[in-house]
Amino acid sequence: MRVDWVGLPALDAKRDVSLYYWEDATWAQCATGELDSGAGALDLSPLVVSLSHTAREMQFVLRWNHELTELPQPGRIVTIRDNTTGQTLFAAQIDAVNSIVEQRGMRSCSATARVREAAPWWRVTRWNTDDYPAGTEIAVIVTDVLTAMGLTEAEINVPPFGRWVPQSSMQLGGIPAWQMLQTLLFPTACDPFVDALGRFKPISRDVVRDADVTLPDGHLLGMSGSKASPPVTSVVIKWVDRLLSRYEQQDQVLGAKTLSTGFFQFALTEKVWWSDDRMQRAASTYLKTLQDINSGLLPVANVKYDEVDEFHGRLRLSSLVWDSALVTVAFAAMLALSATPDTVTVPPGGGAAIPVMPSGRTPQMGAVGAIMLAMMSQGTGNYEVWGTPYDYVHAVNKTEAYNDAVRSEERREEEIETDWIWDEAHAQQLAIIELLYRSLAERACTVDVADDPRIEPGDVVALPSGERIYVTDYSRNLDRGSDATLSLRGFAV
Amino acid sequence: MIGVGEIARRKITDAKDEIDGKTLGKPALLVSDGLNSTYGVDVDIGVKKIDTNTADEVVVPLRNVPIAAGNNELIYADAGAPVRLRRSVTGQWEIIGFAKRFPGTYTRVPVHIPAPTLGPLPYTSGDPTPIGLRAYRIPYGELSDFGAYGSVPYGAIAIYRGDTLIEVR
Repeated sequence: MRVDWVGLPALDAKRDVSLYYWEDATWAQCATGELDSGAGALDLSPLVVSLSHTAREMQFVLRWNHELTELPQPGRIVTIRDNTTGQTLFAAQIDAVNSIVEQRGMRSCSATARVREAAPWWRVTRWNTDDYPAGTEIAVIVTDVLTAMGLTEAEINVPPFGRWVPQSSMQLGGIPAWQMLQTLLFPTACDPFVDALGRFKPISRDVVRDADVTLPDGHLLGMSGSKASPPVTSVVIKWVDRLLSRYEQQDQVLGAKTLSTGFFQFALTEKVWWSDDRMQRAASTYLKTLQDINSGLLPVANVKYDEVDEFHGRLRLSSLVWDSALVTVAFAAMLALSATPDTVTVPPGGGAAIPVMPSGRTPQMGAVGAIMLAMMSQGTGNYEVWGTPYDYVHAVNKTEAYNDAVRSEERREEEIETDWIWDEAHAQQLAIIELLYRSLAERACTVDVADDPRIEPGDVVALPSGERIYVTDYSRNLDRGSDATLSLRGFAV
Repeated sequence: MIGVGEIARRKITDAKDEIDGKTLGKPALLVSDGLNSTYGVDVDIGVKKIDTNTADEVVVPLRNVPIAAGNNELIYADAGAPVRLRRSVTGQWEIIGFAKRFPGTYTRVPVHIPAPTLGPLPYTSGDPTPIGLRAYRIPYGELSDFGAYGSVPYGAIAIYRGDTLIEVR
């Protein structure tokens, strides 16, 4: 409802409006009421043959002789001023000037002007938003999008919704601004809307709320309706659960290692990752020995396994040292024994050579044997790490609201996918609101009432008879001297 | 002129896509020619059918979905694992890998919508009914919930539809 409108037309009032054409006005000036007086604008009112507008579009026809020096230009703002109250009734941006006719004594043209969000800047050009962390109020993101589109604080009316970004981070990318706003407002059960003065606000899709406008007796002029294809009977909301779910695989091999050790090293540490990309998680890991490193001639090392974290473990191999010590001692013995002279026995009086007693070489060979024993005692072991791989993933839940009174052959289901649902209760609330909106929207109706500039799309209007309609659009004929009536389009709720 | 069969084939081809599901058991041998083996498993994709006995709408799994060749890790998937399914041009689903999302809960809320009358619409909503499938390996401490000692072996898998146990395998 347009809450800033003051004063309602009398029941039998006739139209008295002015059409202003602005060369340099901005939407921000329109929103703050600076254009209400019409000062500085070109007054097209005397040239207007016909004038009408809906919630999203204005149509007018001009006829003149020498009064206009140039045609209205697309992109300029035009405003309709209600002369009775002095307020701007509707503003739009010229989109097209058509049917330009010049003939003796008369020139004419027709023009179509649209509300600001109809421009390709809003509807076609693709944009990215910033990246928003979990817990960001949706109103903050909506305001950021609108600010980026050039709206000032006076043009934005977005209250806090009590809805927040549910995932770890969210970014909208590669879509037009209007689609961003629709996406952001869906979890709040609202639609984006730009009012008659170019100000943005969300409008509720909740059709069972209290009426925004109650028309007094005598203001209802006529009503007509229709029923279209079978209404929607079921709305399924497919939403991503913000809480991660853990899933496990069967116990299996996570990694394998082949280790060798011997006299040449005292310790060895090897990391074992559960996957090549080092991103796989696992629990309850343990070591399986396929070939023991001590299965050789003599034991050479102790093997120990630790699970370091959920992504990898550690194999630690510590030498028993004896072989390293043995090699060291044996090598020292060889050096020492190499200096030990052999014993030579010379027969009395000389004569033939007598064999040498190898008093040094025998123990030296013992030392060589010790070194060879240490070298032969190098160990090789094959090990596998087993465990239960697991990961955290998002569940995609479904929440369905369905009309329990329809027959199966009348079923018409619609599925909506969104990542902006907080929890199951939120999903159920939204599914019911959407079911009611979509199932009732098929019951279109048109209601003619005495003009009430407060009424906007998104309003629930209570008629004097007690019936209620949800307004999706309206049209207002502003021809000079015509009755001040308003034709509402919507559906009964 | 295009025949009905060709139209059907093209429709299936156009509908070729990928979806996420979750396994409802451990993969088991599906077919083998003696040398090569194909494993398969039941997969929940969160889609309903109308129960022929009760006329209720309930989620049912795809039965015996084959696992694509060359996916040894998939053979070790446990009950509840998120998997990626691809539909071939012939309209058959097969599991091609693990997924990052899987079907979770499915809740249905009945709403009674009267014809618009005077005043606010007096709609009423009933109790939500969970119909989503859930499978998990029964922990040791819960085995006795499913019968006398020994009747359900350790490692058995329980499958629930909402809060209702529908199968132990």
